[in-house]
Amino acid sequence: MRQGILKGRGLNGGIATGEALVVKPINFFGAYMQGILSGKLSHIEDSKHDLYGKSLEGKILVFPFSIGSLAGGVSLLEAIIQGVGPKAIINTKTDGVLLAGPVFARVFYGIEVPVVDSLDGDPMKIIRNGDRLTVDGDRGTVQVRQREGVDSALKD
Amino acid sequence: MHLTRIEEEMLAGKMGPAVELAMKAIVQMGEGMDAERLITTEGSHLGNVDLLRRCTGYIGIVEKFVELGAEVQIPTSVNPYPADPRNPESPPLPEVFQGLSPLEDYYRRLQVIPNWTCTPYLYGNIPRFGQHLSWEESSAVIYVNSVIGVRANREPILMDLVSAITGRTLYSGLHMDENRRGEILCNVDVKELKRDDFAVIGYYLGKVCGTAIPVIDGIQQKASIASLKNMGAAAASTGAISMYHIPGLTPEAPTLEKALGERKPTEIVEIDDRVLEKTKEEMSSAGQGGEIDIVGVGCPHYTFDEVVSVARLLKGNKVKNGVQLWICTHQAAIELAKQQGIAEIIKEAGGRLFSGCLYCLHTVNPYADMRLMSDSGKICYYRRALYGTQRECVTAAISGRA
Repeated sequence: MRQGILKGRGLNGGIATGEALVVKPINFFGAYMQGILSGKLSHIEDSKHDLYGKSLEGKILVFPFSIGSLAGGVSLLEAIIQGVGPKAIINTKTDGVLLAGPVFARVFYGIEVPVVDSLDGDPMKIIRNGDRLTVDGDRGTVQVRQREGVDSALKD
Repeated sequence: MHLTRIEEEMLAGKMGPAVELAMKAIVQMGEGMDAERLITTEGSHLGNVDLLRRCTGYIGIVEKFVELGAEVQIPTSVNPYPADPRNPESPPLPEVFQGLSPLEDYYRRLQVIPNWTCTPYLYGNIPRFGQHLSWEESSAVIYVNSVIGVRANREPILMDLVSAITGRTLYSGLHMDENRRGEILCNVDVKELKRDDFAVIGYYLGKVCGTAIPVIDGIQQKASIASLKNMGAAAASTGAISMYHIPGLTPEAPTLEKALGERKPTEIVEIDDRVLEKTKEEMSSAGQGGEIDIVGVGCPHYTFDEVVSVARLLKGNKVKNGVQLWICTHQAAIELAKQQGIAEIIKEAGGRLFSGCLYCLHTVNPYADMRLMSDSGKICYYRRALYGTQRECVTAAISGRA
C-alpha cells in the first residue's frame, strides 16, 4: 500500500473518508435533470458522461472542474440532501456554481461535504479509481492510500 | 475576507435571523472562493425556479426564509414559469409542471417582483449604467453587462436568493473594472447582415471565445435591442461569455481601442457568410427539412417588436393542422399586443402567444420528443432542433414542413 498526502485549499469544511471516483468535468444539472423534475434523484442520467447510470453515494468525487448550468450547485445540493451525493469533492479548480451545493448543505442543513482544490499535485494524475481517500476540508488536505503497482504519480 | 462594520452586524444577527442566515452562506462562499470582500448590489434576479419545484433542498431554503419573515432588500425579479397558468393561450403543461408550485406564494411573501420573465431588463426590473447586480439567468447577465454597462457575474442559483435578502455578493469577476476589457477581436464581414444573423453570430462566438470577452466589430448598423438580446443568449449558451463590447455602440466601448483597454487583442476571429452558413447547419442538429411538430420562438422572451413582426408574417395565414406555433414573451408585451389587435391576429392564425419558458417546456416530454424548429440559438444549443430565421419558422408553421 502506497500512501501520500496532498495539500491544497479547503473550500468547505468537514472530514470524510471513502473510495475515489475520478471523472471528467460534470454538469450537475444535466446529470440529474429528470430527477430534479420528478423530485427523486438516484443515478447519473447524462448518457454522454462516463458516470452514466452510476450513483455517487458514498464516493469521493475527483474531477477537474464543473461545467454548464447555473443550476449545477442547487442540483448537487439536492443529491446531497437525498443521500445520493458524494461524501467529498476534490477539484483541480472549484467554481462558485459547484461550491454553492456543499456550502448551502452545510449552512442550511448541517450536512458536511468537504471540498478541496488547488492541491500541490495534480489530483487527476495522482488519484486513481478505488483509492482510499480522507479529505479534510478545514485543513485543505487529502490523504491517499493506493494499491502497489497502480500507474500513478503518487510519491510516498 | 474583509467585512464592513454593517456586514459584521448582519452576520451577527443584528438585522434579524433571515439576514444572518443568508449572510452566513455568502461569507462561506466568499471564503471558499477567496474573495477579498463583498460588494453591495442594487438588484437581484432569481433563476430557473419552476424546474426546482420538487427539489426539497431548494424549497426548504426558501421556506426557511419565509418562516423567518424575510423580505428581499433590493429589487428582485424572477425567471418565467413554464407557462402562465391563467392564460388560456398557454399550451397544455407537461405532467411534471402540473399543479400549484409552492414557490409562487413564497416569492410573493418575500416581495419578489412577479414579472416572470428572462428579460427583466425590459420589464419590471430595469437597471442603469454602473449598478452592481446579483442576477442569475445567463442571457440577462450578458445583456445588462454589455448593453447597459451593469456590473454583474452569472450568479449561481441559491446565491441569487441570499444576495436578494442581504443586498451583497462576492466582489469578483465583472464587478472589477480591470476584468471588463475586451480580449478577442471579432470582425463580422457579412454581405447583407440581417436581424436574424445575430443569434447565429452569438452561437459561433460562444464556441470560439469560451470565457473571454469579445469585441465585435461590423454589426453596429443592425444591432437592435432584440438582435443584441438574441446574440448574447446564444453566446452565453455555447460558451461562458458574460460580456461583449461593440465599438461605438455599447457604453464601455467608445472606440475599438478603448474596448480592448488599449491593448492588442489576444486573438482575432473573422466571421463571414461561410461561417454563418456552417454555424446554421450545426444549430440544426435535428437535420434539414422534413415535417415538423412544433415551432417555438421567443427564447429569451420576444421583445414587443419581435411579436409585431411575427404577427405581420402570420396575418391572413393559418398554422397547419397538427402543428403548434408557440410565441413566448413577457406580460407587458402581451398586454400591448392585445391592445393593438396583434394578439388577435396571432390567435386567428392558430398561434399561441403566452408568457412562459420555451426552454423549460421543450426539454420535457411530451414536447421533448417532438420535432422542433426555432429561431433561438439558446434552444438550438440545449436540445435537438431545426434552426430557422423568424420568417422561415413562420413559413414552416404554415406549411408544416421545414
